[in-house]
Amino acid sequence: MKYVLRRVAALLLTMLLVSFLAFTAFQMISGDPAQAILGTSATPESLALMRHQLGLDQPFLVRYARWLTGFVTGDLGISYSYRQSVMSLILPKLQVTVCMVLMSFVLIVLLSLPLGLFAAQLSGSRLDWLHTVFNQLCMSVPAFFLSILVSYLCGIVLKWFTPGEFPNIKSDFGGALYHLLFAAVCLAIPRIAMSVRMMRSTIVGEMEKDYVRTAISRGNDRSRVLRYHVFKNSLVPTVTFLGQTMAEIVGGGIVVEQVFGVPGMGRLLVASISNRDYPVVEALVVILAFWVILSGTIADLINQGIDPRLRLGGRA
Amino acid sequence: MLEIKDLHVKFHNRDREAVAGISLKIEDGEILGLVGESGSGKSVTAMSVAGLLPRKKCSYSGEILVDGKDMLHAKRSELRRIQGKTIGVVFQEPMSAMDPLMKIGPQVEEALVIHSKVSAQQRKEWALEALAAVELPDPESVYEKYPHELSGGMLQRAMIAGACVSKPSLLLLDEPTTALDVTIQAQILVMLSKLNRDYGISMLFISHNLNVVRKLCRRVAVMQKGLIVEEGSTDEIFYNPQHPYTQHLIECIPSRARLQARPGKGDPDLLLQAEKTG
Repeated sequence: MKYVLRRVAALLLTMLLVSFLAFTAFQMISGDPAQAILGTSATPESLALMRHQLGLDQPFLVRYARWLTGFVTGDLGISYSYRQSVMSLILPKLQVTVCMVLMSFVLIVLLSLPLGLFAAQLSGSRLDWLHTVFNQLCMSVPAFFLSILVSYLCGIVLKWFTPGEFPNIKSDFGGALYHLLFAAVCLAIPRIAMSVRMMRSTIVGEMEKDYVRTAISRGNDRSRVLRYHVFKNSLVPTVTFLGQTMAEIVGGGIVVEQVFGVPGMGRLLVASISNRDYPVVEALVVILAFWVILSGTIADLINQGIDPRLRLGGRA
Repeated sequence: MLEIKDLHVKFHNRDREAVAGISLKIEDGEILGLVGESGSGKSVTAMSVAGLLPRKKCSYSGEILVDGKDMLHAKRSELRRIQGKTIGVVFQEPMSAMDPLMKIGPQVEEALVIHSKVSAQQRKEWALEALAAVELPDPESVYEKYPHELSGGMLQRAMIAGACVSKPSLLLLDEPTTALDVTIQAQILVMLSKLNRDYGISMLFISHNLNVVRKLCRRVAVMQKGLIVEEGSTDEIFYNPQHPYTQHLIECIPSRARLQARPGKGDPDLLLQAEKTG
């Protein structure tokens, strides 16, 4: 339990640092929010009043503390361009993106683990070239290009879904998930290829280790060695890789969302950057950073569960 | 028990035969020492007996009979029935020879899981017995430990327990004490000879160190460049080596005995005397 607490403490500390950096950066680049909100009709008096309302006349650290408490309690400020709370703006988009990313991630995990084992068993056999060709192919096709292909094939030719017509996630959750599935698949395929390749080389490497020879000397056959010894030993690098994948598919998802017309965080991020809607951008940046750090932490915790040697500071 | 007849092994990526025609015999309950420097083919011999040769990467001929069954040409599935049951193997590096992510207990039990259909409780009981037989203190707690939590000596004892748990008739020990310090080495040698006495397990003990072999084995074979250059009782070979290579090996022993025996280098009487007093 001790190492879990330690890891969570590290997570919180990192988050604090990231939020501070993000806040500082946006303070430096954002110019005068009061001017941005009031636009050309601003008078010096109304500007001063607006600055006071926004709390901009306060010292920097006070503003940071205020922003941070707001962030923790769910008050992310007011969007400049939409004039509504950032929270109400982000939340529905966040739901969509999280659904897509999680679906994609589940696909990646469910498919790459068995495929990786299978590819490892193929290694050195006559069918090895099959893996290499298929793997290179899947890995080299960018997700956005796959998205265009799938949109065209499944959407326009086969009419399995209507591109651009995204069902409301609240009223038609199943329909929304169905629509998202196509995006999730496109997002997953190149990643699956990478994980499989990574797992294959890890497993092949592990099969050369001494403990495999010991296991064989006890009467294990190849598949039992693979299941009981090698698989678990190859899991640590795989979990680390999957953790990175979890973080990276959010970034990759931005482009895929655009192609499929999914109203997710990607579209909001692009729109708010071009509108200089800094409160929204700021909130999204911190959420994305949190996602990345969280993925890494979860991967680390799982790895500590798998490998007792990673449990620094002794056993709980 | 074990009979090796004219064994040849040649790896495809080497010019020289790793084992160039050797014949050996181990009687029931006997401990045979196999000595030679690295690359002399002693490990390859043991791996051939254990059925662990990478068959695709080498060519081989001859016969290895374990209780009359040819290990060299047996099918993989037949080999698996012998591995871990009739033959147990202990390797040089206990740290890397153990699965780092599996607790000691399940690793010791593994041969039982594969070869016998006893209940989990019975398996655990036997595993604890084996851990006690290799003189590990507190077998119950060792059973629950991971390899990185044990010292090299304790791990090697656990390895031996795992190799002995299904009461094999032959134990192959490939430099089992080389990675350990001298005190631990001596304890393990005593423990091994006790195992041999109590359970009647035959052993093939491989080492590059004649002095270690002498403490455990009555009979020893000396290997050089894939051939057995000398074979006989340990005392004979130690005090009256015939082959120049054996003489060279004995000269390599950095023992107190030898230091005290100077300048009468190689003088058997002096050596014996020094051994007794030192």
